[in-house]
Amino acid sequence: MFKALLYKEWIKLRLYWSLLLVTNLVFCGFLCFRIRHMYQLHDAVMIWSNWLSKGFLFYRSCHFVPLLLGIVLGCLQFFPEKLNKRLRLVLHLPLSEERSVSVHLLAGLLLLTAMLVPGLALIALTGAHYFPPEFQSNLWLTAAPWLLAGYAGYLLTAFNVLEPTWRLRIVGLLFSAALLKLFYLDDFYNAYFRVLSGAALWTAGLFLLPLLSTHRFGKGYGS
Amino acid sequence: MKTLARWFLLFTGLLLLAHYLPQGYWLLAAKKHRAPIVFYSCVEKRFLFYRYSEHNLQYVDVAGKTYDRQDFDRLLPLDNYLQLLRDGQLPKAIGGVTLTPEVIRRGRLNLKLRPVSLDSPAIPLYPLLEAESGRVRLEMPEDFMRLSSRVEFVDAQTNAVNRDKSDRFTQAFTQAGFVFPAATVGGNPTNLKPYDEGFFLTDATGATFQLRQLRGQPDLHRIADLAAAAAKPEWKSLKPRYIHVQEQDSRELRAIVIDQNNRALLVVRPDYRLIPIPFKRYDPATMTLTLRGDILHRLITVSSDDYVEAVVLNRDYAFVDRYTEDLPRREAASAGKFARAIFPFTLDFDDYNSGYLGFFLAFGSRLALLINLLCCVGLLLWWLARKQIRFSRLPDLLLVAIGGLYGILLVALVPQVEAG
Repeated sequence: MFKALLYKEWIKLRLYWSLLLVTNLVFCGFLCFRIRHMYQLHDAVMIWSNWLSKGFLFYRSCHFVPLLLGIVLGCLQFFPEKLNKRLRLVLHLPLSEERSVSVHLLAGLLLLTAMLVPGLALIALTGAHYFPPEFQSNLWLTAAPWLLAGYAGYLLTAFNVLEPTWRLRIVGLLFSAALLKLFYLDDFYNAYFRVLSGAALWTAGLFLLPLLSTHRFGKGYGS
Repeated sequence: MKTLARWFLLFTGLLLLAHYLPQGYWLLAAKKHRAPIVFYSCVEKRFLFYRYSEHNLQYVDVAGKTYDRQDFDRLLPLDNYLQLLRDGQLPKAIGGVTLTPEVIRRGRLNLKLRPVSLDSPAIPLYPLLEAESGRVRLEMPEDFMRLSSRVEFVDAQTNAVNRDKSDRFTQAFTQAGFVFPAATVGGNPTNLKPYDEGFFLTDATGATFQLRQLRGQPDLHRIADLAAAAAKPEWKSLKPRYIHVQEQDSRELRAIVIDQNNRALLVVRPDYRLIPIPFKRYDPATMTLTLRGDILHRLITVSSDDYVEAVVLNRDYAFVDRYTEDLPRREAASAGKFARAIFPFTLDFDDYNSGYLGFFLAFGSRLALLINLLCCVGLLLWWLARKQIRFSRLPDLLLVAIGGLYGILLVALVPQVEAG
């Protein structure tokens, strides 16, 4: 049943997922060409100095990309379920409602990871060509809150889309905006280093929220 | 699971409200709150201040007497020499020193050490400038130094380690008795300065070294060996925690050292004299240190939200005068007291003293506990009136007992979960 549900989600999302993956790769590729362009025009010493002392990051423009991808994927995955009331079918599968929604969420999180990692890997590979090994840990530590924002954006989108009443949906949207802003408080490199584990735990906890919405949907709220 | 989900939603909501509601409150209630800027008048040998009130800037002395700007300028001729020169009021000499704009300019010294400098993300790659290149201006090097279990120079253009130079420098470090890895690295990584002091390093044993590059060759010395005889024991026992290097035109100060006991010490040319700054209170993690020098004095100020202290030293770094003042905290004003009463706690992620984000929790006053209690009673009465008192509502009551107004908002906004 798990595999069947995962496969169903893959069939449903594969076209959109491919388009989003290509968009992400094109954007990350553009950033990589831009750093190459900068090396053509400027001294490497100046680029390194700006990176080390002023926090210049050639990939900074992509900080909202994981969040956007998470939100778009969440919408593409759960709007059809909601609009056509297909969620009712899912809730009548021989699986508990929590398990079936969890499988949907896991499928989405896997697809999101498979979408985000190639883009960052491309940036890491390009960075390895132009920058010393210190760049790699710097990249992953700096991008970690952006990645978490992507996962949080996806889970909060699922929570808000699946929520059956407008009252809690509006509260949920305000809550989501307030929470997502916290992933973008500081854009200097490694600034989130001391709060990363807390932010990761918090993001993991967001997995619970779509389960609450589904439960309320199953109970017939808002219909 | 859905009950857990609701609790998680409430808990997260509580933290978000504890962050955003106080922020919104202070957006409306904040008033100008700045420490006074302290000056020392070389004419009258006393402290003077810029004090910021809500609407204007006042020029005052210790007794609170206010001055107009022209009189204030005349009391501080070395700070306002260009204005006095323009007005034809610059004195010919002060303290036996003939005043000319060039003499005053050359004698000036300005350094600032903020708490954030001591605690910010940094990538351990350092540009070691050529200190004696024979050129008029300093130039950025082509490579960056990495200090690990040896010294490595990474060429920025090729992104490859320069083996020859790395070996030469590693050998120099070994010969000088440097024990890897480096514990502290202090330098000023820019070429926009009059000369290069290089890097001050402490090794794994705590010994302090100075590294410069002279015509491509390493110049590394244990400072205890370079210092005057009187300063050697101090350098040997010194355990630096942070070393601030900021080259000045006067070339008088080499660095400011913050040691493990939070003492601030000046390193003075030419023989690395160590001058502990005699502050009564200094916490480098929360206080900004400012050093302003002229041809007669060194005025060193430390300030935080609630305290300012200024110490005046003469040109030989002997103590001259001191000023201390406790400042009213934002929390002590009526807006602050109100905030501490209505917000049982606040959560911040940035304390402005560090380059890293963190979780900073601050609790409200005792009045906030009373308000929480009143909120609980009010909620119980509300449920009683609507015949909604149930055991399952106990977590909501607990939320209000902890979160007060935050809790009331959340209980009103987030619906209960039905069983089954």
